Amino acid sequence: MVSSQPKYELMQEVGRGSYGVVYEAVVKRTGARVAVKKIRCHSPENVELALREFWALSSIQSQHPNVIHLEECILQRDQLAQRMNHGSSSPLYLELVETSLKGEITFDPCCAYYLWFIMDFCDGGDMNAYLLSRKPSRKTNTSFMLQLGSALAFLHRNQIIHRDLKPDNILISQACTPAGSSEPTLKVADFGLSKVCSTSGLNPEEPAGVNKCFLSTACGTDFYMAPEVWEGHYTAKADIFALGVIIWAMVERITFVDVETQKELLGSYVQQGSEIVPLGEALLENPKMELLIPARKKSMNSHMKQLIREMLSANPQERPDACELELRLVRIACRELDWDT
Amino acid sequence: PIKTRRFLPRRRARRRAIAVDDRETDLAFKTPVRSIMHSERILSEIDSLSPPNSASRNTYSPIVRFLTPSKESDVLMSPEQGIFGYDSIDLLAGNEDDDDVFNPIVFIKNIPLQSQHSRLRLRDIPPKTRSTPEATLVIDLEETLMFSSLNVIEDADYTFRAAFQDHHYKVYMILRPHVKEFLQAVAKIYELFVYTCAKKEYAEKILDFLDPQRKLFRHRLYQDNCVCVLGHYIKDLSILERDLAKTVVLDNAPHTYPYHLMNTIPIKSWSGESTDRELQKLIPYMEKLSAEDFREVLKKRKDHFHRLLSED
Repeated sequence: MVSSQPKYELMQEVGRGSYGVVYEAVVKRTGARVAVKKIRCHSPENVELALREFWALSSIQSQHPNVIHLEECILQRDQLAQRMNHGSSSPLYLELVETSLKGEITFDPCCAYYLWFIMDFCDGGDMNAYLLSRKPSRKTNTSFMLQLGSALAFLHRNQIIHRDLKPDNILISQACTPAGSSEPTLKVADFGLSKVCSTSGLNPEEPAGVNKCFLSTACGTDFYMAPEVWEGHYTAKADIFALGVIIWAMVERITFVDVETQKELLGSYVQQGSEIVPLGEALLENPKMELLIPARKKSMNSHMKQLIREMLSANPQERPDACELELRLVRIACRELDWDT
Repeated sequence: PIKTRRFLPRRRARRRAIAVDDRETDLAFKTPVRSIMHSERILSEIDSLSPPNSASRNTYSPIVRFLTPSKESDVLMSPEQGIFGYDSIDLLAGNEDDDDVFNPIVFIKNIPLQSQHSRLRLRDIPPKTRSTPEATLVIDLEETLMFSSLNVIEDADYTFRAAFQDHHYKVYMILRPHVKEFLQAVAKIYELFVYTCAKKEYAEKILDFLDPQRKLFRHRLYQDNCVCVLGHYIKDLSILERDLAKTVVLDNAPHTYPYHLMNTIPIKSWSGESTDRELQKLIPYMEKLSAEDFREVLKKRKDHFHRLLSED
């Protein structure tokens, strides 16, 4: 009998995020490792985040090697569990849609309502942990840069704005290193704040309305936020800015320590006196501010310098789009390869 | 170079930022809620055979039971119940957050100071004109004036299609008895606002039926105009820019106004009882209230609320 044997076995907790717990699990039949993310649907905010993530992950039809892949989603209410498709007409799913539409929990708050996402397991931790536990390597940096550029171009082509790109949300899979490469595979994850633009007819370049009350609680990763995001405007170009902060920090190994968590994080910033200020915040106050790129001499070539400068423009329109970005990153990588050989 | 991050001058709720290694902060944020939440409701879910100690409460919470082989064969289990392995009890047992069940009274008690969360962007609500009634009445939609559901309601008054993400859903809607009579009456003596936690596109469809000519409600506020606190949307009367001594709220969920409880007239939640007369009964009260000095009336209400909150 099929049902007598559980499909997955949870092995251990690997992370605890703002709205869920992530476990490492094994597919019993094949022995493959998967990540299982459990989201508790007990408040309107959690339901909203879970449904957003579900929509974004489901709408990526063609799989991209650098975007986390959703194997399946299971919706559980007390002892009832169902495999769920995005837009399902199951009463269990409708309850969540109704909660999101009404902005209040529409079911009995005592019942255990969970969404379980079964996704790729990334054995290398996140980008912070991976890079900061190793010596800086130009080869790794170049590989990561290319993978990130490719992932973002893919997402924007599919009308998905991530809205929360940061090294914590970029995972490393050493297991699925492509043949002939020594560098691991990156996977962009955590789509809880993402926006899918396709149905509203929105182009990712057009401003997408950001629910202000939502932003105020859910977002806090201010070091990667573009200046316009501080004011509540959001376009796909804000993802480009965030990637600019990440790539600049990666190439020059710029880090800061978050006081609350004592965790060292990759991220570039502006120094004002003894304080460090997120780039977006500083640019909001002074859009004409000249960024010191590179921070150390000779740490990058002139093309890279120019590209990062453009990605971090205060004006979103001066930033390259994801397609152009991908192309330019490839060109820069090819040049570096020429130098190396 | 390792720099220490400075303290942010503008205080923003930063749940995601601290999420990486945030057990302590997170607990500080939530502990009061939890400690009061250890209520009988959780206990009632426990298998009656298990001893009522705290360890068993963790082990036998509903979620764990789902993942635990069921020895009680009479419990209804879906065929999918065996999706996850059974060896995970220890893993899941430590999830203390499985215990908190939303309770409006506790929510109000634990609400952070208003100054601790970001202020809403001000919406330009036009000031009152000379012809606008002096008193303001802010009304909720769902379960106060009407009830809607994605599940079929037999004999629904209206149905409409609501868009959510890339799908459309059929919504069934029924109106609370005497709603039109009530709105007609109060619209004459109050400047009417509708303020709902529902999404704009959804609420607008409902208002198309309640106020098709846009003559009853002068202003409409939706989810975008709410603040999200502790995971729940709340409403903020200060964005109305009206004299709060002349403003009353009619809402079936007073916890959505944690900062303006004394302005709130709670009304029984309605989900379809055809004999309900709450709105009709309120008409004379609302008429009398509009003519009175609110501050006196509101003070009495405030005392009443404080009594309620001090009872545990």
